[in-house]
Amino acid sequence: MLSSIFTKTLYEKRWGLLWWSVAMAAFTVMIVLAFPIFQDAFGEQMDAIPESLRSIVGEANDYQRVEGYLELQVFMQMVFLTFIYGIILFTGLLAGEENDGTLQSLLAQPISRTKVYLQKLAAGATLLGILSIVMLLSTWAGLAIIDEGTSAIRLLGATFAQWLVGMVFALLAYMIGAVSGRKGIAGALAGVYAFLGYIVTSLAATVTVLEYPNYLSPFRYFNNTKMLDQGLQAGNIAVLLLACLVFSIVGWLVFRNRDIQQ
Amino acid sequence: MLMSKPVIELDSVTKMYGISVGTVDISVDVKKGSVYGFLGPNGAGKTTTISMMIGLLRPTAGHIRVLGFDAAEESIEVRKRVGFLAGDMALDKRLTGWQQLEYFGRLRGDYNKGYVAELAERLQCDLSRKFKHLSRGNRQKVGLIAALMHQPELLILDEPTSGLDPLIQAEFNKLILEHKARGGTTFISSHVLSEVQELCDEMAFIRSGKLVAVKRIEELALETPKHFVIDTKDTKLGIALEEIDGVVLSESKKSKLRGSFRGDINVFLKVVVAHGVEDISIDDSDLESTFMTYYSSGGQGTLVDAGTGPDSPDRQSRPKNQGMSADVGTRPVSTDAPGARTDFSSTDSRNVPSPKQATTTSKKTKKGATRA
Repeated sequence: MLSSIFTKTLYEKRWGLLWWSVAMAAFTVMIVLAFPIFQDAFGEQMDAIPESLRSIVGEANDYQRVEGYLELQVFMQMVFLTFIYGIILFTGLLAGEENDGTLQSLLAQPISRTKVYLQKLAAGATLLGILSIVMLLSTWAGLAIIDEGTSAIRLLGATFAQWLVGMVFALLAYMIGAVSGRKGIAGALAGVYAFLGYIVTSLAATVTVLEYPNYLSPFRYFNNTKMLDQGLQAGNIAVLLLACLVFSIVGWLVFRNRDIQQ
Repeated sequence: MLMSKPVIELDSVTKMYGISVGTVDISVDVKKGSVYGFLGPNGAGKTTTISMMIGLLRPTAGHIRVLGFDAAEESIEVRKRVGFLAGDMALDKRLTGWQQLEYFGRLRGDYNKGYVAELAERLQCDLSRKFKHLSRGNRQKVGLIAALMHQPELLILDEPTSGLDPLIQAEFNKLILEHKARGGTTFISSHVLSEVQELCDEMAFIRSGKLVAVKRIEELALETPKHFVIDTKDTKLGIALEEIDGVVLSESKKSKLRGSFRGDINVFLKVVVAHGVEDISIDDSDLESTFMTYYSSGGQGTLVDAGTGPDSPDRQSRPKNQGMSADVGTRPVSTDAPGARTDFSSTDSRNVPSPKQATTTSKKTKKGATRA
């Protein structure tokens, strides 16, 4: 496991991933198991909820179908855990190691900064991917327990979209960390952006002034077309991929020539 | 005579951090096979200079070549050939020493477990413990092994002996001298003269980012005053001694003469013997006090370069006006007591003790020290 930066990063993050996976799996299974209760309880009384809140909690009809329930209660909730894990993970990979001095020891070895940057990025993406797969498997397991089912392909697609949204925020944190070398700033800015994005996208349907800012929120490109009902939209995925690419390239361009203080 | 190119060439290197100064116009040449000391108080610019050598920082102006490679543009080639120890070594706290060294060895592509074990035994380093459980001294040992394990041509060591006990320091000195015997070159930074004077052929003094002086160790010894006390019945000896360049008499009454002398001891002794004495005592050279003058004077008006002093044959032939790598002769036996130590770790360049204070400190420490 200590033969490359990629495998060493996976090795050193194994315990963190394990605990996050256990928490993610437990939450996911519990939420899926609660579907029959929500199905019975969330009926016509949902019509009494104000329009502005319905954009956040969903329509009554959504709670009657497993796809609608999974979109609202699993993916829209679990995406929180995904991006929080992603931001914590990616701020630690470069900026965190620079802050505690271990990056300097690594960069004293005869390896290029590009290699360091890309292998750590790849390891982070892999770890976030494993966490997303854990959530996918937990969802399947929960559905099997309550004897429900949905399209495996669409569930896989939704999991991919969730991983991609998590990667957008994670790579934003990675880029800020690579540019500034400061873990706190990287985590704080990416976290604030994620929180504001979530609020803006949730309210954009009812607050007209948020219509244009919503285009800057990665969440707009996540579940705006109901992934489990209609599948992924190529345009949405392209925007999220483009954001990942831009953040990765900007971070790399600055990091490879930046001063690294001891 | 064919002169080999310097292993390290710093050519008018300046590093600015915004408006703050890192280093200013530093020029140093380090010859192959030498041990070169880079001395100065904390914040003087030692770590900045070393960081530029291995490509962690880029110079704002000037150029650095290490083993013939541009340190900024070809830093990977430099790091392949260099063993580097950071001043404040930080490694992954969850890995054991073995794991950390194996990781670096595999990244380098030449991991020799047997040689690592040999180094660990010599430095008495337990590599089976996790880094987070190691003391500062033991962390330093792991860092030293990481720097030495691929038997590099050049060692660049930032404060290598801090945290090491005297026995391990002695073993470290042996390792450096063995490296030198194999033709290797070593660049050592320190703020403690006594820790490196046993090793170094030549030393550069840096203060507030500026090079104050470059000295060969024997030059430093010649510059350093030797204190004497003479009992004599010859009343003319005092007058004769005062005529010698470099003699300063601080007490001259009746039969006792007390003072200091810097320069060739043979000239001094010749006069003394010619007049006859009842008793004489001459103290060791106190290199620390001379060392301190480079700090306290701030380098203003005291720039004296190895090979560029008034008597140097190199003076006219050198292209640079600072940091000359003069021919390094046989290293003289140190005249400073081991254990005499002036530590500047808590002294920044704006708060430097006076030479008088330094001398006092050094003498106090020397009292009771064991001579080698």
